[in-house]
Amino acid sequence: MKMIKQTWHVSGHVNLFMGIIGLMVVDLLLGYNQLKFHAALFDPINDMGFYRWALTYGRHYPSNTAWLFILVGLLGILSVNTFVCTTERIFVLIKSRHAFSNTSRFLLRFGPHIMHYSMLIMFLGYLVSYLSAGTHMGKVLLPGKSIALTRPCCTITLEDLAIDYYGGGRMIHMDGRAMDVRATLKIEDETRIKTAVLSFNSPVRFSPLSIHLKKFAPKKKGGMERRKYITVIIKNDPGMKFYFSGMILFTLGLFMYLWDKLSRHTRQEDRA
Amino acid sequence: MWGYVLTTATTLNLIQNSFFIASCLYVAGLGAVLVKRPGVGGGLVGAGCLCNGFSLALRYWSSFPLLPLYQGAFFIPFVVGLFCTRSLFKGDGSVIHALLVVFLAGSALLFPNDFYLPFLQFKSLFAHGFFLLGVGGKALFLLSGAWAVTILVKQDQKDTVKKMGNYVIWGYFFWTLSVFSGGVWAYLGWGSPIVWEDPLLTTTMATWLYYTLFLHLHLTRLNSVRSRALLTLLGAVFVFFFNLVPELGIFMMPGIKL
Repeated sequence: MKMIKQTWHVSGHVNLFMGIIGLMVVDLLLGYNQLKFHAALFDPINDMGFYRWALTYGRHYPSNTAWLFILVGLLGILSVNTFVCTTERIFVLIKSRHAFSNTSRFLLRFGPHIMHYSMLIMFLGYLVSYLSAGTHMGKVLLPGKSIALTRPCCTITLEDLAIDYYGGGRMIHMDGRAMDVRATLKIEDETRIKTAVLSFNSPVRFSPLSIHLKKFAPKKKGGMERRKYITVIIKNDPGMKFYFSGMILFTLGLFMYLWDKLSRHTRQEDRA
Repeated sequence: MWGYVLTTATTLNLIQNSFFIASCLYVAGLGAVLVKRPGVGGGLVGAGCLCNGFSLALRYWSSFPLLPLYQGAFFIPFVVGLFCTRSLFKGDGSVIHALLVVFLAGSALLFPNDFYLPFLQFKSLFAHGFFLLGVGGKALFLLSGAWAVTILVKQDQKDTVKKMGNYVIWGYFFWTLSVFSGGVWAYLGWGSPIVWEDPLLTTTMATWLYYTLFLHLHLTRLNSVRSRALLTLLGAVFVFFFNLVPELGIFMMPGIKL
């Protein structure tokens, strides 16, 4: 029992936290050079996920990819450390609740802990995403044509493709270039049919899939008549809900932390 | 209508010339502070901010609704300059602040990165949030470094220590929101919150972690005023070399074109 307690205490110690963060900063700076000069090695993570990437590119180019494996390991230790440290401090905070003159001041003190837990939720999201997300990269769709997916089983048809070209003269280097792309998609499986408009930064959801516009043609007006097409990224990412929930909670915690900090400063100034 | 009045060449000239004039005014402001005329210095830096702001407004106007990405180097002196003007008028600003504005404007002027990437993925509120909040975060981290130098040179001043801490906290706030905004944008545009193509994602995360570490200093023995000031200064140097320098272009002698 004593050993468990000691391990718990050590794994949540603030010095361990400082050490891990310091190592992560150094590791990320090493990663900067690798990403800058060997971007082609890391780009496939977007398509195949971390696990399959680690077994192929990661394993075959260890001198270039080691920093990313070290980063993942450090993230794992940081997660344990954050969980233990925050849980310990939450118990201490709850025990000392009578020391607070009002409930709002007590609640605001939970801000940093909400940030810590939400960081763990985000890590969980990335873990789920990189281990289990399914991606179909670069699927080409021609107007009026369909593509079929096997997992999950569905058909996607590009019903219409509308491209607006810029001719205003205000935007630098944009004259005659495409300014807006709207692709009307019909997605159907055994039970559902959905028609939706896909454009840049505006994906179409067809649970559990999300469809994102990657490329299109023709990009410029005039010249040789080019065939119209779009390229889409099709994702099935179960981790997405976790990391977006984590982001929202972290932002809430950050606001609480700032509010607490600012109101404490105001109180100190009033007293002075 | 203005699109037809201003040709692309005129717009580009106006953007570059107004930034050149802003840089000259910043230098004049520094000169006034050096000869112990902080009020005049504040006025000159403020005028520089107006010219810089005009240049930025034109940059944004000529690319909106797309994003003038990789041009943060022109935006940061403006934000730092606004805070510097306020500090100089209040009487608590020093040569360090004016020097920082001149240094940042000089870096952008001598190493310009004036290229425009017409990517339609840039047309998103989250892309603008990522860029503008990031500019705010970087500017505040750099300003906290300026306050750290003031503390290290003039020794412990309670008020300055508090200011330095506040700049770090607000910088962290903007930086975090910028990272999240970038995450949402990456998901909407590419289907993943991390796009493994841009090396700047590693330095962005390293900066966030560095300041996360800084905000935990009160739990350690490294909590003295001097060590906090040293780490804040180190953070500002880190932000400059790893977040600003990669956005700069190659050396070019500025030439005014009218």
